[in-house]
Amino acid sequence: SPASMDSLSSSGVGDGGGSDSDKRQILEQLQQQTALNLIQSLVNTSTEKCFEKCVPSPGGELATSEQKCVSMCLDRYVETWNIVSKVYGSRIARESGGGGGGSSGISFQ
Amino acid sequence: SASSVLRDPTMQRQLLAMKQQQEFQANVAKFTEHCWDRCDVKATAKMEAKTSRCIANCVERYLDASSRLSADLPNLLSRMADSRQQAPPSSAKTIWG
Repeated sequence: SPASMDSLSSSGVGDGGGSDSDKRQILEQLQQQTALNLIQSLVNTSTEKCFEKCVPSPGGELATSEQKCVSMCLDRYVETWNIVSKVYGSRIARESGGGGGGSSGISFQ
Repeated sequence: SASSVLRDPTMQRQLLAMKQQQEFQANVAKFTEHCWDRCDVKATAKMEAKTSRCIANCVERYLDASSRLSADLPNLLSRMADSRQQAPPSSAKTIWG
């Protein structure tokens, strides 16, 4: 259940605010929400691109060949994502002196 | 209180890290969509080598163009300021008069 504002005022230890577990919970929820937004964006864009590519003339139902096309299309889209993530991540690492500012890219298996 | 949670320096560091990661992912999403179109990626069982090369080049060249533009920006901005200070040419009155 989401942390309510009431639970944030629970007894913290010396740091003048919520407890460490409250902070962890907030961060985890933010992280989850960010991941969800990311998946949403990926699904929306790939659906649009793959529909364009695989279903040029929408008929009464999706043909088997169209279904296979959509499936392969999604695989290729995710593969494209992973290539982009790797190249962009390497570039950032190179430009920030090779060590710092880890680009924690998410890649999809 | 909620505001004191946000004032915690550790919290701020982690929020900043998350923000940076979010920006990274947003850019990945943008480049993926753009390069998918640019490189005409096909809905096949296996991606062609030339296509994956194209995608990698697409990202690198976009970033190069972006750096180039950022480097030129101070010059561009100063030229915009100059044109605002100039009086409009008198011929303009003749044309639009």
